[in-house]
Parts: sequence; structure tokens; C-alpha cells
Amino acid sequence: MEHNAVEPTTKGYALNKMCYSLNRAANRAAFLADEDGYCAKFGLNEEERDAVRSRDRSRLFAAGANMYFLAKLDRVKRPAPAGAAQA
Amino acid sequence: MAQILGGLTTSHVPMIGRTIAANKQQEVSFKPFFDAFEPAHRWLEDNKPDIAIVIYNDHGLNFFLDNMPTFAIGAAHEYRNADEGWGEPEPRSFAGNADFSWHLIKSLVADEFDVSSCQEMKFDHAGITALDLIWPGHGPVPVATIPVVVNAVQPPLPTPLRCYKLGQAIGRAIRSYPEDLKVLVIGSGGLSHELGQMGKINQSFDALCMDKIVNDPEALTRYTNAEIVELAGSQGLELMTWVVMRGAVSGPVEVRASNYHAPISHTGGAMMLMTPREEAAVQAASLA
Repeated sequence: MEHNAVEPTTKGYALNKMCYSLNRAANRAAFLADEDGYCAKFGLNEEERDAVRSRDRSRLFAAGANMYFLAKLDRVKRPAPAGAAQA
Repeated sequence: MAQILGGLTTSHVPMIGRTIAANKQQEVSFKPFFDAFEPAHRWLEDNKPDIAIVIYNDHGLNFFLDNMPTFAIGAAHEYRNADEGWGEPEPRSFAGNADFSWHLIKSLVADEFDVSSCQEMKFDHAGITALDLIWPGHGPVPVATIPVVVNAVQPPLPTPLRCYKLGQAIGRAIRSYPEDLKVLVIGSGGLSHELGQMGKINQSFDALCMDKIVNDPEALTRYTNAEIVELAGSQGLELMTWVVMRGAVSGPVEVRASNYHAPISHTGGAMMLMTPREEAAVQAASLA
């Protein structure tokens, strides 16, 4: 599944709206603190929530993610696990 | 009357902006790309444009799917950068020229291009990277900036032919502005890449685009968007920003700087500076 740059789609609107909100630092922090709760606020359906959890590009595209907004999700850095070396 | 000094095109890969921010242009593998701007810098020093029309695509910063214009023109006195998801950037301000913007918008609408006018606009890295390449140093740029945004986000996207015609209408608008201003037209985007599939670069198609944009821009207008996606990847559609530029800088042009470097990050990286050929030179060439 690839990003479709030719055919219009309305699929994934809530998913893309959630991703768009991640332009803001406070929203990224809220997302990291409670990913499921944050997605619920945007009304993501089950397919979209599962795709976000997986961070799997094919699943995210299948759920309707638009590349330009999906990039915002890519930029949210999960905190390093406790004890991991800091890059 | 205002006049068009020339057209400059460039890729705007975030890695280019990060390299400039870290001042590591001389240390990276794509140093030749940065070096290629040197003749452009000298040309700018000699010609000193007053206005830069920056044609680019927004990357999910200013526009969301709730309201996605096909063509949008900035009509603000000032444009600012913003967090694009990488973290709060150092705040920067780019002066506009609202009088010029409104002339452009009125002229385009009269010319049957029903563009969106934006009295506020967050200025995307696609526009800022181009200005940073052209005027290095991260200081205030010495021109008024006029953002022109082409939808590359939500299909259906405008066709190359429509983009070329928009550029021609922008050219007419510039030439009909009563003040004696010098205008540089910038197309920021491309060349081949697809973010969903890192590394979808097509060097031979990129070379063809760089030839046609100079010698036969109308050839580029005969591609369908689906064909461009097939050849150059989904984000290869950012070629539209070059096509708009070339519509504005119409007629025969002389190439003053040009470079192609692949890959820059995941993209066929390219820059070009072209200026309208002097009438005498054009005649001499046609007689030769």
C-alpha cells in the first residue's frame, strides 16, 4: 500500500487530523503521555488506532494516512527506554 | 513597471535546511549542490531583486484537509516559520509586500485563476529552505517574499498544464505592476522522490526535466499527474513548482547555474538559475 497522490480519498480524515495536530509541542507531549486517549479524542476508528499503534507504514496508508501528515507522526520521538544510552 | 529578473529552482529536502542550520555545507556529500549556488549569489549581488515570489508546496503546516486550496497566495505583511513537528524552531520573520500580493491576486482572478488569498500564512520549510540557499546566513532576506502555494497534498492536484498557465498569468501580473520592482521567481520542490518509499529516484527523468524546463517547458505540460507519479514518485509532483516558475519566466532563457546531486537524503536534488535571454542574443542565435 502506497500513498496515493492521484486519486482523492476521504478515508483517514480523523487519523490525518490527529497527525496534523502533532505540529504542536504540547500535543506531541499529550500524545506520548497517553497515545490511545489522545487518538480517542480525535475519534480514530479501530483500524486507524491499530495502524497508529503499529507505526507500520503500509497499515497507516491502508487506513488512509496522507504522507504529508503521516510525516508528523514519524517526527514524534518516543522517549528512550530507561537505562538506554542517550544519542 | 515591475520586471522579471529570472527564475531559480531548487529542491527543499529538510536535510538541506538542517545542513545549513548546522553550517556544514562544506562537509556533506552533497557539497556540490551548495557550491552550485555561488554563481547565483554573485548574480543576485549584481542584480538585487526587490521581490521573491516563492512557489512551493505546503507540507501539512499551514493547510489541513478541512480547507485545501489548489493555489493559495500570501497577502500578509509578514510571514513566520513554525513548528513542523521537529520542535519549536528559532522564530524567524520574512517581510511580505501586501500591495504587490493584492495586485497579484486581483490580476490572477481577472485572468480566470480563482486563487485563495491568505492574510496569514505559516511559512513552510519548502519556502524557507529556498530563501536560505539563495541568501545564506540566516539573516533577514533582503527582499519582500510572496508565497505561492500549490496543492501537493490532497488529490486531485493541478495538472502541469494548469500550473504552466498559472505561471504565465503570474508573469503577466508581475509585468503589469506599476512600480519599478525587480522580481525573482523561485520554484521550490522536487525532483524525483517518494516519501513512502525512501529512495525512489529517477535520474534520467530528472535530467530530462532539467533540460525541458529550459528548452521546451511545454513538453512537461503534456504529462499527466499519474505519469509523473509513475516516473518520479508521489512527491515528484513537486515538479509543478518548477513549471509554474517557467510559465512566469517565459520565452528563451539562459542557464546561469545548474546542479544535480542524487541522492540528497531520499531525493534527486537539483538547483537551476535561469534568466530571460536578451533580445539581441536571441536574434543572433536564430540567425546563426
